[in-house]
Amino acid sequence: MSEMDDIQAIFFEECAEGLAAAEAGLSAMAEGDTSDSTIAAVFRAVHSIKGGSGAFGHAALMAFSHRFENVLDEVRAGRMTPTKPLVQQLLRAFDILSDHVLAARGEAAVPDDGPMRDELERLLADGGMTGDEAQEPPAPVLADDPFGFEPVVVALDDLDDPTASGESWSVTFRPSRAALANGGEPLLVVRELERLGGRVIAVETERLPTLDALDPADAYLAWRLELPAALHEDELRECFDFMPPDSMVEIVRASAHPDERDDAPAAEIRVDAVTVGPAQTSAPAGGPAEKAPARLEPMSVRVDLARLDHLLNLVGELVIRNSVLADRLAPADQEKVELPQLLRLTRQIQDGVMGLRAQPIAQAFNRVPRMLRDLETGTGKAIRLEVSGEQTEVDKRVIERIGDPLTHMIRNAADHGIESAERRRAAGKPDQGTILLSAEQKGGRIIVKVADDGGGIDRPRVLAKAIDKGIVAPGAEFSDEEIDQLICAPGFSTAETISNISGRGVGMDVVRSNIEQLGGRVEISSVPGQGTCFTMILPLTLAILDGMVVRLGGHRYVLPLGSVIESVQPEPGQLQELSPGAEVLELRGSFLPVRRLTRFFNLRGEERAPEDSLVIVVESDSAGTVGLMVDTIEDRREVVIKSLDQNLYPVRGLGGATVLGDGSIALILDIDAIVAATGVTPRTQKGMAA
Amino acid sequence: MSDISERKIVTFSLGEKMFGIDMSVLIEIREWEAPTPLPGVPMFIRGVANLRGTVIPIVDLSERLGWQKTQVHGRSCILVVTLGDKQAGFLVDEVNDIVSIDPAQIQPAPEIEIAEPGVIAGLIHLVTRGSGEQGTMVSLLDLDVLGVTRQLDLAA
Repeated sequence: MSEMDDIQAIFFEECAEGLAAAEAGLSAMAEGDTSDSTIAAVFRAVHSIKGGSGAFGHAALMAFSHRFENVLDEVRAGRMTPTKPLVQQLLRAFDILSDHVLAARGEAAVPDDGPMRDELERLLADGGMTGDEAQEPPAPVLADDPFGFEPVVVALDDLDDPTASGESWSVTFRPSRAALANGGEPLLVVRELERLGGRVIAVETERLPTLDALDPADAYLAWRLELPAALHEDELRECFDFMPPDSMVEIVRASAHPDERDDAPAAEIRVDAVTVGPAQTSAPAGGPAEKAPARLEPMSVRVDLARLDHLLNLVGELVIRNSVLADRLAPADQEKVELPQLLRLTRQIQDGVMGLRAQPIAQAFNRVPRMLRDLETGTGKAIRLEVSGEQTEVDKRVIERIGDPLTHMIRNAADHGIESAERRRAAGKPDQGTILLSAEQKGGRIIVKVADDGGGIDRPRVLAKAIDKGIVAPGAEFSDEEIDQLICAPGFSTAETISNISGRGVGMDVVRSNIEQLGGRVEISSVPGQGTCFTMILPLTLAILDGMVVRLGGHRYVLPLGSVIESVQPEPGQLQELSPGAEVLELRGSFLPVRRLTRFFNLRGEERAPEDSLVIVVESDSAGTVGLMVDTIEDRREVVIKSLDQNLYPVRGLGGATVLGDGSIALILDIDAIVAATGVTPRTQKGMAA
Repeated sequence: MSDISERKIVTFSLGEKMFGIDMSVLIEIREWEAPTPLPGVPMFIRGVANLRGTVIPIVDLSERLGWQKTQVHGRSCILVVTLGDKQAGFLVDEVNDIVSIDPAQIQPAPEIEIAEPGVIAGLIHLVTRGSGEQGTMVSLLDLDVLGVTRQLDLAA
């Protein structure tokens, strides 16, 4: 990859971040948050996209973002009110901007932005009146002007030279009252600057009073000029030699496009704002200072994820080495070499590195509103999105992998879940459907939910389809939950799913396998007439696990400690066999199903008597509380999860492997998969046979 | 000085038979150490082992090629090789030698019915120390074809 490509890649990354920030801000505005900081954030995001697009020659993207930015600037300056219709318009403009970014990346065709560009131009001209309001008379700001002076809108854009580009000087000049009194004729200054190649790009008239209050001896106007970058700053300053010290003169090195006259405070670097006069300081030259934007955001460093992963691996090794030391040294020796301090430091480093990978899940959620707007158009349904917990931090890999499942679930909810407005009305629900998207951290897990208030899963139809597709045998009895699970079965797709919106080849089975690859699982709950809720349960960290090391048939295995409830040593007769292979443990008056891990791992020959074994009571999400029979418990420790699919493929029943202190490998058990695999439902048995 | 076109081949034995793999795919040769067995995988995957912090599968090459299970003995060892972007260890009976051969010496495998089409990349007639006047036949293997790191059955 050439250096230019690298830089371009960074630009696109920034675009993605900018789009996410802009969308988050616009969504907040749509929700009624029109605070200055929100609006400024949207403006900044669009502005930086524009800046980069110009630098990389994405003309269409730049042209569009420029118009968009102009409108946002008006909003930011308070000259346009962010009314609901206006914000909706901005959201639509945002959608086109995203399409432009995709086009610039070469991932989509350049969108037809003509109508939206016209719309933005019109918004600018009308001061933010969207179509519905434009007909209303503008607010009579000059009502008490006895002269009845009518302002004339001059499109300053027309004065701009569209061919000019690149860097330039931006000079803002506001003569004081004293200037006029002392013969400091602004016209002469302006002419002098024009002689140097400058041109007036704006005249600020805000301070101009109504005519009856106008004092001819005072100075009310300010000029903004743009001058070629080739000029030396001193040349510019010389022009103001005759201006008295209380006049305002700002000389700023502006980058990119000349039309950026209004945005200098936001993104360009104000090199200096010098008051002409004795106190004039020697200004630094414009060049180097450009690279130090006066940003208020926290400083950040962009790091390649691969390097982060490498660091994480090394930390994992460090953790292992630490446990080797802890294993080999007697407690007294550990103290002598200050091992506890080393362990604590290691833990801190580990937490720190893990934290580096954590990102707010908002990055994955941010693409949902846009998708939903498209879905609303596509389905003709009105859908409201409620998002909560978007600041929940999850591993970067979760964010990467959760996008597609999330997309599919939202599509499902919009397409199948939420009914048409007529049917909703008939069912006594509001016309507008609601999709609830939430994330929260619960213990060591991240729970992500997509819930709709639609009609729920049509179970008779799902079952009929599953029988039709040969996924289940006809005549078999299923609980409601089992039927709901069928939509995750490979090859399941109900006839009506083949629409433009869903049914793009990503089925719920892919959703499930994506989530399982992350070490999580999907739960479905549905109430007919009230809606469906998909719950994705993901591990908090993908790399380190708090585990219980158990021994079984001479091998060591790791159980996730988060699932372990207690351990029981069975008394003779406490364990009873109901049918071959199905045993229960009587525990405090209730019966607990028990699975023998030796059978799962084919270690049958080494099976111990129940009285010599331990039953670890674990909580599984698919089958409730169950007991797993192991030989002994060896240790409780943090283990570094090594994926099996790095060099092999995922093995059902295992969450991965880990390297223990002595260098040997222990397998990490996936409790849910084991319970499911040793269960008796027809589908999972089919799975085991493979 | 070795010819630039020469290929270095690592030869090893499975039972009485001689095999070779290209030196370029070999990462290391290590002593046999019982790996950690895995549930629900084909019999020829003996388990997983720790290769400097990464977990690699250990494959019984003889069993994978359709002969009987390897009986581990004192000189059994594991050839750790790279297969595409993955790594795996193969249990073999004995590593013999590293030989440089002229690619022209490699004869294409005859078109006969074998259990694993494509795994034999070629045959080499090798005259080495101790192999006698008539030499030995070495089957050059393409281990990537065996697909041990891919899941054969995705039905589950």
